[in-house]
Amino acid sequence: MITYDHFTYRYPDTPEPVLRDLTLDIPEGAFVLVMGPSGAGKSTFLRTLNGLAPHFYGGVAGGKILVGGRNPVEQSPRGMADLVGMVFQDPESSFVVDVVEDELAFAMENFGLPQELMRKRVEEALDQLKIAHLRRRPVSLLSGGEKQRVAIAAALTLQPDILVLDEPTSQLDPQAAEEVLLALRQLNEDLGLTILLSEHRLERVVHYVDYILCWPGGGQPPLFGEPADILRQTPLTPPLIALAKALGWEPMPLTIKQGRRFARALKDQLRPAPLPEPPAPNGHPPAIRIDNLWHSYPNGVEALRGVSLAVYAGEFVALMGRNGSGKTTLLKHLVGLLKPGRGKVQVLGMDASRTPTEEITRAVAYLPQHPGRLLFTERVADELAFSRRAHDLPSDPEADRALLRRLGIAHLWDRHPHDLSVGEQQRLALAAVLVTGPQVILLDEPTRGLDYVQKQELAAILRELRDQGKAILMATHDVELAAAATDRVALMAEGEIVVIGPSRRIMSESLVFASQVNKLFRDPRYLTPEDVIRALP
Amino acid sequence: MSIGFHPYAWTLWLAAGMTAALLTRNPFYLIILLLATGFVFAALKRRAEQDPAGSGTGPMAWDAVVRLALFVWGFTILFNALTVHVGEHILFTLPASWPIIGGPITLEAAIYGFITGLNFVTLILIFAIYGSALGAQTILRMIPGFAYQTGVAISIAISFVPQTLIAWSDIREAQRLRGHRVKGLRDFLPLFVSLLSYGLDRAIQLAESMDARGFGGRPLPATRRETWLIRGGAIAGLFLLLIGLAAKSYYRAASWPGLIMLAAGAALLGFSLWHSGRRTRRSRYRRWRWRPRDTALAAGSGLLLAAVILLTWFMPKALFYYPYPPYPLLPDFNPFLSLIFILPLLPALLLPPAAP
Repeated sequence: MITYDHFTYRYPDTPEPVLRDLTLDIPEGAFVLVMGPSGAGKSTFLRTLNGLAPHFYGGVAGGKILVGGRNPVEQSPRGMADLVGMVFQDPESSFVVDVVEDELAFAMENFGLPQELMRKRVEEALDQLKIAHLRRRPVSLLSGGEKQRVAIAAALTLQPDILVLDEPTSQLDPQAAEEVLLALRQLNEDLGLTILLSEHRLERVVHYVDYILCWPGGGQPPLFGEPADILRQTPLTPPLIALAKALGWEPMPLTIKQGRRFARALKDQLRPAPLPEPPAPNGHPPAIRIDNLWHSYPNGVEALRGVSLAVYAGEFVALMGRNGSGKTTLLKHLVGLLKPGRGKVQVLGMDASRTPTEEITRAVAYLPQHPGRLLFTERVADELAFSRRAHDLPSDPEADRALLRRLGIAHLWDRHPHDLSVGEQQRLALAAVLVTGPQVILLDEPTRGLDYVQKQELAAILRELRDQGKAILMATHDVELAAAATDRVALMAEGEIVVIGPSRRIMSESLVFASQVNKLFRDPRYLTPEDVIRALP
Repeated sequence: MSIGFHPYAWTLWLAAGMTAALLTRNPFYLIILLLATGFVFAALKRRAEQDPAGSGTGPMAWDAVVRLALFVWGFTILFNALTVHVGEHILFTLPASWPIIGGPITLEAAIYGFITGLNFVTLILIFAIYGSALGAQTILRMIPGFAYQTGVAISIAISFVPQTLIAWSDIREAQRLRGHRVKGLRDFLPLFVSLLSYGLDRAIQLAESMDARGFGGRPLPATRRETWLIRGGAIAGLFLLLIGLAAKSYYRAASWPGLIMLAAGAALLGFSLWHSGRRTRRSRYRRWRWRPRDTALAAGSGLLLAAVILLTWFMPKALFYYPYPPYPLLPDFNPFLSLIFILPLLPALLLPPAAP
């Protein structure tokens, strides 16, 4: 179906090829996960399948590719459109027209298909993705999961043999991601569609796929094979696999169900430490104090309904909940970007509704959802200097360099921020808000686009900051990060905090927000592989 | 997506309403026309509120349209009354030493402003109705084949505006988070740099997605002769148009040679554009059905259009009104004539109920 024969591709203006001497054979009807550290060439590889690279990006391609009998380097992306359907990371910015049905028909109209056929295929695609009820809705009013399903349906109407998806679930909450992945699996099984999908959160997909294509990074050739074989060879593994590797479970379990067999056998031998008592409040006033906070947006949506929350210094709290449950709205109140409709918000003794944002952020670091938007200078070093200048602090390149070193990006000192990878941008943005030495740190979805290694590094940095006595509040969908690093978890729904408590208790009672290891043992004492390994006799 | 009627029927309604609103100066007829369009506006608004997702055009700022119309109306009356000091019915007098607005303020000037305002308000309502009933996408789809790509480019540009506004506020937020205060013009520079790089990112993503979905179609291969015919036709057509224009304005005594050249040029240009549009195979997903109610709407609109044009041509006094002396202050009113100005009400009467 897809054959690469000594294929090489180099972007214009770069000396080193991204894809070097790639030889690969993907059988028809396979469901393939494309993984690897960020910046290893996954996106580029996916774009060579329909000729976007080199046709769209320029650069030099050598060697041979054959996709479904056509050569994408000779055909343009247009010539491949009826063979390869593409779904991009951010569905919002790939929509061309405004109504769901028209969006589905767009590609077919370009191919001049007769109207009868178009109508039939639109109906089929609506049913396949279970979005028939959305057909007349404007795409801008859909939720994240709905948008992604519309984007997939729009790629299917030309009835391609191959579907390519670039991190389709990176912006979705666990439930919406599951819906999208289930739909893909069904397409793969029922229609025999060949699917290639790149993803960082392997725990979501690894049990659905037939093969893994793994880029080890650093210019190494990719590994291709069955999931169990590949996962044995790579450090980027979800917690279940990490545990299985550490304990030598064979055959390697890929699903929780398979893993439970090993867990049952192990459980009686484990000598876990007793559940730690939640630390008693140390008598200091909380760093963040929210009392009965209400907020409505101008369009009438009630985003927050009576939220109360206190976060103390030296504490790391996670806010979890569906997309649109009010997490970001809550965080924005803490730095005064939004003003409360009712209720009080206090940060470090400041009234957040009266103090200007510019003043609050001197003591409160806020990392918003798109870290790239925080960066606006021409050099990594200038970003930190910019923050210092804006807060009227004296310039101190030595301290800046030390901070970057701690975040592991000191070697990028002279680079342009927009040329960095997502993970690097993330850490640079973090550095840019940490430079003032804040006492409170607020993070909104900090793990988007990060691989496991980067995530663990981020968790370590945040735990270190917490141990220095900072108060950290983080909105996240990332169950594993919350399990590994936080002290308390607050679950939000429809603008309310439904439940708040120690992470171990909350995350082991939840269906959706339980970590993989917890699902394995169903015991609050085991949330992460480390918990289990530490309890070994 | 077009609400209630065939897009062509709506377009004819637009043409008739617009022509009537532009050619009529008689306030009685204009008020009837405004009431008729107002009813249609209200009917569409009610329908959109019952079924917010059904319009397919997204949320529409109905109240903002009304506010804009009222503001324009008030402004026109005030502006005309304060700046035109002609007429016999003096309401009051401002000191002559005040520049421009000083002098007698007359009833005639206020009435003239009132009528001009009526023209504007009616036009605003008509365009708001047309835009909300059809939506930008449908209007674009009526564009003939040769202009299709331009049309899509325009529609993307339109959707870019709200998204850029969102990005602007995001970036502004991000900068406040970094402690950046905008005090002078120079502090805006980082804002623009970020906005530009954001816009570029988005444009690239969208272009990628359109390319991957076969946008631009696959033009049928043209023979060398065809290519030359199309290009030659377009150039010759433009040339004829220009010469025709020049001839018509120089030789006023005999305008027919110029007119003939204009017509021939336009026909030639139209033909070559149409022919080049035909070479791209595209098809249309939306099925536009012509129902009996579309015939009714088209007939009514056609009648209004024909009546207004014929009246202006042959009985220029019928729709005319001028408040300043020596004309009488009170306009004529012909009850039979007033009936045709009720015709734009048709969509409100024939509009089918929203689907449950």
